[in-house]
Amino acid sequence: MSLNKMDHSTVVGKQLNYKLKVNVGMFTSLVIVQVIALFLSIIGPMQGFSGMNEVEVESKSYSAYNVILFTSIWALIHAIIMTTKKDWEKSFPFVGNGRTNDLSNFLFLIGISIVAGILTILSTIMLRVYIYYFSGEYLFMTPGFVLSGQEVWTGIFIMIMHLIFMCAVGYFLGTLTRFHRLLPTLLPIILLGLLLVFSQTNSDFMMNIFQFYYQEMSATIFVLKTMLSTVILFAISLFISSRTEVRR
Amino acid sequence: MKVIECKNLTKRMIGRNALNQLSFTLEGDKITGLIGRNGAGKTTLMKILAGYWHETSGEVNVFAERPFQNLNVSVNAIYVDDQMQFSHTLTLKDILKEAARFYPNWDAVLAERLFEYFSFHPRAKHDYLSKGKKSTFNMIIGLASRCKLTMFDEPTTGMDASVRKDFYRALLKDYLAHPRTILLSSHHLEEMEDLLEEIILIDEGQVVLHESMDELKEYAQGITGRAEVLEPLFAGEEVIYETRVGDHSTYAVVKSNSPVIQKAKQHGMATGPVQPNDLCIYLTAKHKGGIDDVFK
Amino acid sequence: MIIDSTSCRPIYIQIAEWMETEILNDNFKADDKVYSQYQLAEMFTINPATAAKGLNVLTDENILYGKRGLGKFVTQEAKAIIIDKRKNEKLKGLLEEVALEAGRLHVSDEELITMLHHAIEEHKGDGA
Repeated sequence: MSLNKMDHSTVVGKQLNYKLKVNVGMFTSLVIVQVIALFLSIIGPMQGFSGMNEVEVESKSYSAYNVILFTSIWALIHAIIMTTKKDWEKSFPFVGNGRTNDLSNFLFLIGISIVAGILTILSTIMLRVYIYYFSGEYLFMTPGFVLSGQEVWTGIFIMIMHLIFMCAVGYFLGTLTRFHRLLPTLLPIILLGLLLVFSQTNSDFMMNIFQFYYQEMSATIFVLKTMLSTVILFAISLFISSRTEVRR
Repeated sequence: MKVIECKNLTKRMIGRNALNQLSFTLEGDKITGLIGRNGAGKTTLMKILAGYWHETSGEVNVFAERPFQNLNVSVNAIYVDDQMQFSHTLTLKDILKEAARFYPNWDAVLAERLFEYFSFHPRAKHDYLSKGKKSTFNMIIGLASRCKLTMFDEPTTGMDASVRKDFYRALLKDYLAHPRTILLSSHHLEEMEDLLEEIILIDEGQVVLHESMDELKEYAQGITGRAEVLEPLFAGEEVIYETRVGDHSTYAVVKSNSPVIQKAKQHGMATGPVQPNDLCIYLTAKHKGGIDDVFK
Repeated sequence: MIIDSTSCRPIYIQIAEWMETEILNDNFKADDKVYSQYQLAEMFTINPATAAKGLNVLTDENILYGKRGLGKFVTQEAKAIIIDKRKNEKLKGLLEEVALEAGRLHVSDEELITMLHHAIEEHKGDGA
């Protein structure tokens, strides 16, 4: 019997195929998350009352932030789950190593981010359509309510980049936890603690990070920022995985 | 070509050396038994050979490459134990199909036939199989993958006697048709000793013995004789095991080339061969008298 | 099963003896091809290396001969050798037992040899 050779790209391809079969549940959960988010947007718009003399104004403002927020959390959590011990172990019954496993996971996460990104923008369009036809008598459209084709495409692209970035953050945090047995419990506590400390001390640290990415006005620079951050986070994860032991 | 080569291989784990300066070489397509007590380092060794764990120091080569996270090793070696995990979204049939995509030498016909023979349900889930069934299913993957280095870690866990017998025969038949290096660890040495060409006995992370099975059967002799006559003969000689039988007799095990045997025979004592399984227990015993020492 | 794995006798010896019996029973005649190591391994669920060792023992004793690439065959004198060997083995074993028993009963060497002479004489007398 002679030795077989299989190069990295072949193994990554086979593993990606495997991940698609194994993680079908992610697509279902994506659809459910979007439906819930849309539903919440419709039944629970921000209510506002203002009165002046005999005139009372009741306003409802609809927003698609729910959909974007929910989908972001979905991406973050799924990326973390993929790196947990249990799921990670299940990636190793067949041919592969830490690197091929990570690469196929990245490709998979990029793939579902693309699907989720498109779906999210479509959902926000659906929300607009619903509001337009069913919201009631008076509709004040904020600028940007009606989207041009160009804006839809940019929106989709930015949403995809945002979700990929979310996945990279989740994957990175999840990978960190494999350093030590205690980290899976410690890391969330540390992160929450940091958040609390920063908010109490009125530190702008967290806000600055958020603003660095999400108050960026130029789409191009936003894409560059997230892309670069994603590459760095994936690279560190890859570095860690190729050194950690599996099947403990 | 050397399939496995370990030189002073050491693996440090939580305060102790699971493998301690372990060295051995494995060449050719042989079935080798990896024997040792619980915690001797068998699993640690196999996981390092499979590329799952890395060594702390020393040198380890599989197919002349360092195995840790090595793709060439991963594609040519398989490690089968009862901890194998598969995604719960896959049915047993799906798992076989996936394995077929990954292993270039996969024998789908063999896998299918074994699957039928052991009457698995195609849509059953791996997580819900009983211990014995899980071992049997994992064994199918181990055999059908036909990896150049096939490692079974306690493959018969939970299997009943008849399935164990089937497993040994299936392993042998497949090996005869497709010779390859097979490393087997098991507590049932007496059951599988006929299958083995050689054994590696490890204890406390070191190789105690690396012998062919035939030589192991002739490695040592047991002597039974009157204690006051036999015991003085041991002076200055290496004794593998000794225990009192009743008040006056002693049973002792010494190497076959030990001068004690000739002397004992001259005193008219009975000598006889020692079962390999017993010999391995004696060789790795922490106390010369075994559990009896506790009750002294 | 003919092979007794619980026995302390090495499997290759058991294989060799089984082959010998097959030859004694005329299941293999002179110049017949015998089982290969792989056939024996399959038949008895044993390692082929062990089976090969059994065949080699018989080759060393001139009971079998090898033809390159064709396998092992029974020699002309195989049967005679086996019969001769078994006689010797049995006799040797019996004598060893006698020696051991003599030791236990404190029979001196001279006494034992005299006893043996007597036994032989008696036998000759019977035969005559």
